[in-house]
Amino acid sequence: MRRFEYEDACIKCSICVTACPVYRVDQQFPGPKALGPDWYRRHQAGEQKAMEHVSDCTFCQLCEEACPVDVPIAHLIAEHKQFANQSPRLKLRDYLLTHPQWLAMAPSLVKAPKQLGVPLGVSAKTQWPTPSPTKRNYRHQSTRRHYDGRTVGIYVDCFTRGFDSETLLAATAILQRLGFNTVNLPTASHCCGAAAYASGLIGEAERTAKVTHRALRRMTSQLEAIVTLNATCDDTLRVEWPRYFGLTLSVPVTPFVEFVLANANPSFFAELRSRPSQGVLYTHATCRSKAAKGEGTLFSLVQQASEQGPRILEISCCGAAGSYAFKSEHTEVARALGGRAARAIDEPGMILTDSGTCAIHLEELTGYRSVHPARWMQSQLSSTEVLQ
Amino acid sequence: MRVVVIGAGATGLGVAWDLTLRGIDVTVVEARELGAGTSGRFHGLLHSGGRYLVTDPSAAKECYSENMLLRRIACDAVVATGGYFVKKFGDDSTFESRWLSQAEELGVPTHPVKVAELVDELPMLTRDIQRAHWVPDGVLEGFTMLSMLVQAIESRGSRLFDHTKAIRLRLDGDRVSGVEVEGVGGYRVLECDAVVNTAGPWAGIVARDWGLDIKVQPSYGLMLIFANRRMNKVVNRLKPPGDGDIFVPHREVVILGTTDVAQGLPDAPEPRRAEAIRLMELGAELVPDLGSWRVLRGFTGVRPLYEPSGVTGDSRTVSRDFAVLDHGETDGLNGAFSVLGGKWTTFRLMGEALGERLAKALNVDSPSLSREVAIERRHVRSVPSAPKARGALLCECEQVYEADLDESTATSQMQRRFDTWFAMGPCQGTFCAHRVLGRERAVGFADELSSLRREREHGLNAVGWGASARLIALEQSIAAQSLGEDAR
Repeated sequence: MRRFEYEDACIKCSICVTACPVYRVDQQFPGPKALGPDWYRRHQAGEQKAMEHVSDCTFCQLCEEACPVDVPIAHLIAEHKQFANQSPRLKLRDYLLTHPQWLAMAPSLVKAPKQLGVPLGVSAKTQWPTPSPTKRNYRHQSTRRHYDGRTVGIYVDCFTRGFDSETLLAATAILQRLGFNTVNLPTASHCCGAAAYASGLIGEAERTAKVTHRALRRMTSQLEAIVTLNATCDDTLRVEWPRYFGLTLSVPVTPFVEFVLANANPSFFAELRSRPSQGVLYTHATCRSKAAKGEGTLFSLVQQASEQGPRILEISCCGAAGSYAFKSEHTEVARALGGRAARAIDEPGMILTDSGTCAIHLEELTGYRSVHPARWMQSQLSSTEVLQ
Repeated sequence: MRVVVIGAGATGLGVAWDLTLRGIDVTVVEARELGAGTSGRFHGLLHSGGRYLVTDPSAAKECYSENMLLRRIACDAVVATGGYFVKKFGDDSTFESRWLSQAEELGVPTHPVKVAELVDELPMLTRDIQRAHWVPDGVLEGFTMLSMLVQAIESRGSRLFDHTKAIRLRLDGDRVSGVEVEGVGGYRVLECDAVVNTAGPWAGIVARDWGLDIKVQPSYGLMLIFANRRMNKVVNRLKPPGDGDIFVPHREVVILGTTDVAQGLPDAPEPRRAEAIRLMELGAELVPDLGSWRVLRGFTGVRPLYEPSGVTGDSRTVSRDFAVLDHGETDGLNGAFSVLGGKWTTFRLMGEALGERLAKALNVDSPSLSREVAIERRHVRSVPSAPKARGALLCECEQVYEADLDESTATSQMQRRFDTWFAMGPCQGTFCAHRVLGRERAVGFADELSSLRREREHGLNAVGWGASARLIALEQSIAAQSLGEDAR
């Protein structure tokens, strides 16, 4: 049995239930307390059957962040998901969706007609991302502009690799501007394991993480830090790898947003502020970034980088949650969650969010442009329209 | 033939069952609740005898044979977990060899287990284990067993009066003719041919009312309940029985026992924090990481030890064996009997022994059948396939639905708690007690709620560190807001 800390500490206060985004929109969902610590306690005493709806948890981990006694609620629910009795059809789908590194290698697969995915349980409604415009070879792509400068690795997550080369280019340009050489990691398409963990395929998550860890470890010796573009992958590398898989990296893992805040000088922000604004800027820190670091980092960055300052998009989870929204049984919950974002926007503007899947989901449901803050900053600096 | 049994603990019900099976009409009177004394306050170990092999061989032998018997006749209350005796490096090797030869001699089966396999199965155990032996320990679930016994005697025409106190004996010359009782049914006289004192720690007090002097030595033990079932085998330390050397998995929890402190009074004292901490330290000798386990509550139980020769200083040395006294023989009070001492595991044997003695004294020629007749479980809480049909979920920790309370045949709130197990889980009644008691809005429910909450709080206060400290804060603020009780 996996070792946890505070697995038995639940005092039944139900604060996690009030923090759960799914519980808010889904009457059927029993909530994190019932699915996590309550079930896990019975499981330790022999319960082998999963509760209904356990798979409807998005693994956003906002419950864990809210818990006053540090119960690893979402991770207990992930253990619980392993006992869910799914049809072979959905098992196959989940297996595919929890290996985004494969899709990142062949992103054009998403161009196939959606109806082909329906028999497999893939949502016909949820918007799929667009593959990166040109096929770029990320292998060995590194910059050595600053010969005596410091080098950081950019962790190229599966979504960025397959569908969001713009964000990668923008982040590279900004880090260079801040005086860093960059190197893209890992060279081949590897997943951190977050997708598998979220679906309760914990063994698969661990195997995936170990492979990626080996691939990263080979390249970290010269690095100052590993900068991440996606909050979920960030939290997985930084927190879950050491805590649950015993995998450590010799360099710190830092979200791009936090890295820029720590390393940019005032003139960088002054220049950004001097550019014309493009409507209201809404920030949406993804759930995992909220759970790990709070909403303040993204907000502060945009606050320093824009004249008029951002507004926090007053929603908890947008419903994208990695591969969650792409599963047909979750379509409605994902749309209900995202719909709250549309209602939270009262003036036209743009949404800045630190996850690619959240961005496409929010863009579809709100109708407003949603991008990674790196892309927004870079377009401001180069005076190009981010809408292009 | 009519017999009155005083005390509805394991001893009293064991006696009542054996007598009922002999065709005797039995009335059990209980001053408080079913299992309100020792039988509701223990770790529920079904002894293999391993614990007493060296120090108390006759108790060990009885434990083993009753263990095997109960597995057959009361299987609904038995969980045959199995158990281990572990010897740490530095523990006395001569004790181990004596233990093994005693096991051989008394016929208690043991077999050695590889330490590597043991720590693989129970990774929370210390790595400091030199040798380990398997024994057929198990768990005999307290309230399940007691309510099965009540159902069994009632289905055969005998009965239990709870909240009924025996106040006086009625005599016909030197022979018992009845018992005067007072309780929920008012004052009445239960006419009978014999009376049996099975009052456990209170047996001395009952005997005093009869004008007799019995040397009962109550000794209390503290036990700690951990919130989750972190291990599913009984684990004992292989050395002379001492404090904090046994872990028993019980339903969703694990119980660590116990201390042994001689005391004058029969009532269980409030658990104390300092003693709980000491028990944690002792338990950590077997489970080094014990400090990270959340303790749900501490509780004490009183052993009704009996020392015929009078009170000794050290209660650990008093035999766990039991005694049947026929006061007609010893004190000239014909028809009066006492069953003293003994163990949870041997309750049936105690009933049988009393039955033999009583049958002989009163010329009853029916033999004991309690060895053969299975005790059935009538009311089984079914795991609901469609929870919605069972009404609202009132106790989230132990999954008690409205229907479970409606189906319970318990007559008092406390009995219903033991029947359904609400307020026994991690919230300790902080939430569910309000839902359950508030649902009926019976007269005086606020007082009942308040006293239940306070009772739970005593157990929490003894272990008020870590998550429990936070639960206490939460529990007190809810009490302050809902019951108007100031934080204590």
